[in-house]
Amino acid sequence: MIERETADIFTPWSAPTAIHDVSTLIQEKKWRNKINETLLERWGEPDPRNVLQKIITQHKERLRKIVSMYRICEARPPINKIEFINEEREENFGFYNRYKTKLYKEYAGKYVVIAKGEIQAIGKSFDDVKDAALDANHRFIFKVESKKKVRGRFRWPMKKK
Amino acid sequence: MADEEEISWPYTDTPYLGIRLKTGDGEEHPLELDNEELVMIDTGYDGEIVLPNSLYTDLGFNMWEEPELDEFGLADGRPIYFKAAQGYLLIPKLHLAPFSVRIHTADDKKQDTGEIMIGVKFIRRFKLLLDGPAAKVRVL
Repeated sequence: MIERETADIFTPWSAPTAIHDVSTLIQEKKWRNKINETLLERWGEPDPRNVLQKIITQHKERLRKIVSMYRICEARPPINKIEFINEEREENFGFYNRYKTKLYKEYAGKYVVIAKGEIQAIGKSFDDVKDAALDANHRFIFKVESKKKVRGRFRWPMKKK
Repeated sequence: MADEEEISWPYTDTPYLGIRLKTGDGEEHPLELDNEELVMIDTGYDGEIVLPNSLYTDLGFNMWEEPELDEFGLADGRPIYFKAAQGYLLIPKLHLAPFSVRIHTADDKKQDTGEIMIGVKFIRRFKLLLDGPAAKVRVL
């Protein structure tokens, strides 16, 4: 008996469009079985469509990781990032200076994070606030307390620029 | 009796200490794990550790900064202002927990240090022997 198989867009190897003799079809069937066994062994799934779906999902995951790594790399300094950092630092410092008295009056003993020109978090401990505004370019993170200004000596000759 | 393993770093022109730096979010320097960076010990500097501006920013210490600048006096009497940030310092050879330290960097770029330096406040934690003839800094 002569069999005819129609093409399947998901299984191109099982798509003889022409009429074959029985021995060719047996050969093809053996070949297909071997492929299915290999797929089952390697992917835990004999159906090529499901394997393809798995591969696509894996690649999507990899792509997502690459994109997030790229974003992390992009977030690292070199060139213009420094300017953003300096700009935000000035903004944060301006805010700190404007509200310093109020801060020391209202939040004494608390930990504060200033970023993007405003207070982002207030907490009882450093751990409470340390994750606030991590997407900013600059943060002030400190305990609101009156302490002696840090002073000292620095005898190393500065590099002249 | 077998000799204890000596923990030391080179003491050539200046004494050195092998360290690793860590930020609050886990970023480390140098990048290779279990690697240390040899940094100069500067007994003329009263702080704990000072970094060049570029490294301070690269490691993201600008995200852990305090608003008030620290004031230090230069040898010629002029003041120098340092930004200060919370950070951690490890000495891989000593296998101790990270030390919480105040990281400095010059506020004025014209006064940038250009290299990492360890100051007196940090080395006060250890007994160090500056062994000139053997050209080594040893931990006692």
